[in-house]
Amino acid sequence: MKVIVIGLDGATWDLLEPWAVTGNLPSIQALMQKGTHGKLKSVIPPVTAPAWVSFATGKNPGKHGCFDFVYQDTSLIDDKLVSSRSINGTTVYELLESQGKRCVLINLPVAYPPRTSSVFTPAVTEPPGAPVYPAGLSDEVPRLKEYRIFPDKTALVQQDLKSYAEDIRDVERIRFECAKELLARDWSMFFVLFSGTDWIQHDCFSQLAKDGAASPFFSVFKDIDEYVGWFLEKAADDTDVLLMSDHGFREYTRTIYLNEWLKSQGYLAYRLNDSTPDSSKAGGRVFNIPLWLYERRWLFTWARPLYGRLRALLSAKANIQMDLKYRPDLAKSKAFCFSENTRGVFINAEDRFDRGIVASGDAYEALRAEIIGKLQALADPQTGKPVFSHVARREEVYSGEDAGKAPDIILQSDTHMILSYLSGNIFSSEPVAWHSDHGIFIGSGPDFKEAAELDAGIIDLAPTILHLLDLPVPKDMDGKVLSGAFNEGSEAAARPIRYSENDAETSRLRSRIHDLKRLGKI
Amino acid sequence: MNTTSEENKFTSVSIPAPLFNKIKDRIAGTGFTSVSSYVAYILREVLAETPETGTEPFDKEDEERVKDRLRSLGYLD
Repeated sequence: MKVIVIGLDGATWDLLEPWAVTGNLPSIQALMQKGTHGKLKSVIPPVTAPAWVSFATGKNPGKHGCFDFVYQDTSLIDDKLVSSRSINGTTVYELLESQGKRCVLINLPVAYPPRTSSVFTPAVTEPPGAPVYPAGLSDEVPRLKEYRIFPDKTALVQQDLKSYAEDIRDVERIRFECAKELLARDWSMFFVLFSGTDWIQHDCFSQLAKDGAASPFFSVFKDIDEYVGWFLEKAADDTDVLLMSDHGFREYTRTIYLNEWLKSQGYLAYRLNDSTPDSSKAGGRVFNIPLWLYERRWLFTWARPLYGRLRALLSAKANIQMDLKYRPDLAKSKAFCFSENTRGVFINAEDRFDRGIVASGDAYEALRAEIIGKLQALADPQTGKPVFSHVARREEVYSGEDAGKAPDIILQSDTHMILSYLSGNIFSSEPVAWHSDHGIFIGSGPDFKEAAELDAGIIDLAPTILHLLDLPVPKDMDGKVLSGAFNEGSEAAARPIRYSENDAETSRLRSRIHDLKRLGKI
Repeated sequence: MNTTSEENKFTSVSIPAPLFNKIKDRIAGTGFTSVSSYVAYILREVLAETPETGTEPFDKEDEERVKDRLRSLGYLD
């Protein structure tokens, strides 16, 4: 048995289902009819990096330790990018490779540097020019020399969205051409992620939602639907095809600026960022916008919307890095939101951060309870309704040895976009399109029921893939094999689910071998 | 799809019986289903041309370039 996994980053049924049933996405329509489909619950937070790591590990972020694209050390001076080396636990592709089942991984985020000898092409979380693996692959498959990780942002900066969409289509067309050639290699799991669906939604979601297939940006989806159709045609009788997204997408009509609220309550004080990119290494000049701008609200409110465009333009055209990221004054701040992706409040605890000021134990718990109480009671002045649907202690949301890396308080809102930067106001009505909690899932092929529906979680896919490929599921995976989607009489339904005690042996071997390599012994 | 490639062919390698038994005991309850798969995994890892380990995966310049790119996509503030 073999499995093809096709990822459509950020795809939501809210857009796809009406397009599919009206025949505008014929391949996805056919897949829905041929297979089992439903919503796919993302992780908290529903962000590309942690969601794909949960896909790969079958675990909640409290176990794999990836909560965002970046993570902070205890000094809080700078944030570092996540990589395959910063995530804990064994991935499904390592488990497969350990059993001699080869994998092709095209554009899987947070899988670099590669942990296995799988065929690997870099993703959006990797630096420009990151190589494909194994070395020499692009000589065998010359098309890979055209492979691009990322669209050209110049058109986006100039707000030329049509050109930007065309460039996204180009990135995905080349990715597909590479995937077509790599499909001819030896594999048991073939993974390809198309990121363009997420990229275009970040800038054009409201127009896509409004105009649908008539939108000029629909072509991004139309192309990718054709690519899905090609894979369906090529999938042999012994191959299951999974189509999935890491999170959904939606529009939020109200925004809360969490750090502005924390500041208004006296929990947070700001000062200028003390860590700027090293200008000599970056080869450019670095400008800081001083705090006085923020304190002159009328000017700040006017300048803020221009900031993003100006920053990108100066960086792209003049190699000037502009930095408006104010850091909390750690000597005076009890709580802050370090990155809006994490949707949470960090408490500046003595036992967690080098410059922590909140004592551990009772003082910490009292402060956390106080902030939780205030956030639960927080109402939007415009509607009078609560801002957050859920305000939780981190241990209520995450479990595992890395749960302590999460924010201390986790927030969810059904109505409000949660942002962290300084806006001058606590609330705003500027519509923002961003990720939602549910993505898409379709399982199709000999093992799946036809025209059936089943909701699943992204953590269920790793155990399901292991079972489809007749391998045991490590007991420490949080996800479950999606038995409810299996066709009665199929091999996957007939075969009992096997479990292995843990996945630690593969990790131990890998790190031991890598240590020996580093020491030059092998 | 190529299902009969060279990579799918297998051959035998001799190892001492006590070593075989030691590995058999070691893999009980793990994800490894046979001594052969365990040994093959080790050898693949040893031979794999993975990037230098023990070093930072990105240098500072690369890290800033990726962050800048993530910001322009709206992925990072």
